[in-house]
Amino acid sequence: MNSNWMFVGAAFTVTWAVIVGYLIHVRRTLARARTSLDLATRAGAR
Amino acid sequence: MTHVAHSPSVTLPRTNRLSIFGWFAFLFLIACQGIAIAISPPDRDMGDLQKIMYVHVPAAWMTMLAPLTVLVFALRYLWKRREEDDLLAAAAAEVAVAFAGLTLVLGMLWARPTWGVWWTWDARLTSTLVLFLILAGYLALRALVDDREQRAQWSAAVGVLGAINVPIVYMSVRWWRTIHQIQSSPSTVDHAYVIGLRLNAFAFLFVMIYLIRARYEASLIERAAEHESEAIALGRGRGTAHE
Repeated sequence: MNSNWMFVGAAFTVTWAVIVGYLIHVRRTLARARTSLDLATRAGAR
Repeated sequence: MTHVAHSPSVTLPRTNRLSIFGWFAFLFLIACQGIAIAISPPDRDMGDLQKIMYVHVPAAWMTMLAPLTVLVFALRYLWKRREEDDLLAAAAAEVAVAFAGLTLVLGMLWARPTWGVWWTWDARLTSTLVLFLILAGYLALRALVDDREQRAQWSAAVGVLGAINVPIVYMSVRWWRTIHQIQSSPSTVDHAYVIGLRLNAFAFLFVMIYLIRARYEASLIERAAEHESEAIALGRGRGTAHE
């Protein structure tokens, strides 16, 4: 593998790291928010 | 789908799983990247480095498109005062920060082997960095201001400011003497690379739309939880007053 492919590989890896990393962040936010909503709804029903 | 506590017109997603559109967007991106790498010959000057184009250029386009999405929803918020528009603008701004950061890093990975430096204070690079900082400022502002209405108004103003910077970023390669090449388009890119570039531009667009939508849905649930907690607190407060 020449040095050009090293940069190309790094570029595609960074791209996927950012996209998947952001997706994980959003899904964690979603899961946290859903837990908060469930807790609040249960507290309201009591 | 269930309704948001505060707004009967808005529905909440029931599942945390990736939607069909999400799967489509990610699989389409994988396919488009594979096709582009497979069909494009090495560039005469840059060799295989040219393939960075398929991630850098679409990411740069999304970096300009996402702030324009922020602009649309920020202006709609200022006009109609709908909380959902503020949440959509914020979701687009968060995705815009991710794409702007990605564009800058990819540009550095392309600049090092072609220009010999990781970074130079070129008009295109600098204006993109300014856009990134404005968008990061937008998110910082939202984290700092507690009052919802004030936060929405101030962040809408910053969102408009960020969008004003977009035409400056786009035209920077023509307005100033710059080391960066002129805008990539079918007329400025070699015929052999146009299909790969177009496919990846659409793939990035679908991924961006999916990410904005997913973030917006998370915000809706966050907001519904806040409303529910506030309603309980108010109910308890009234109960205490009656006692």
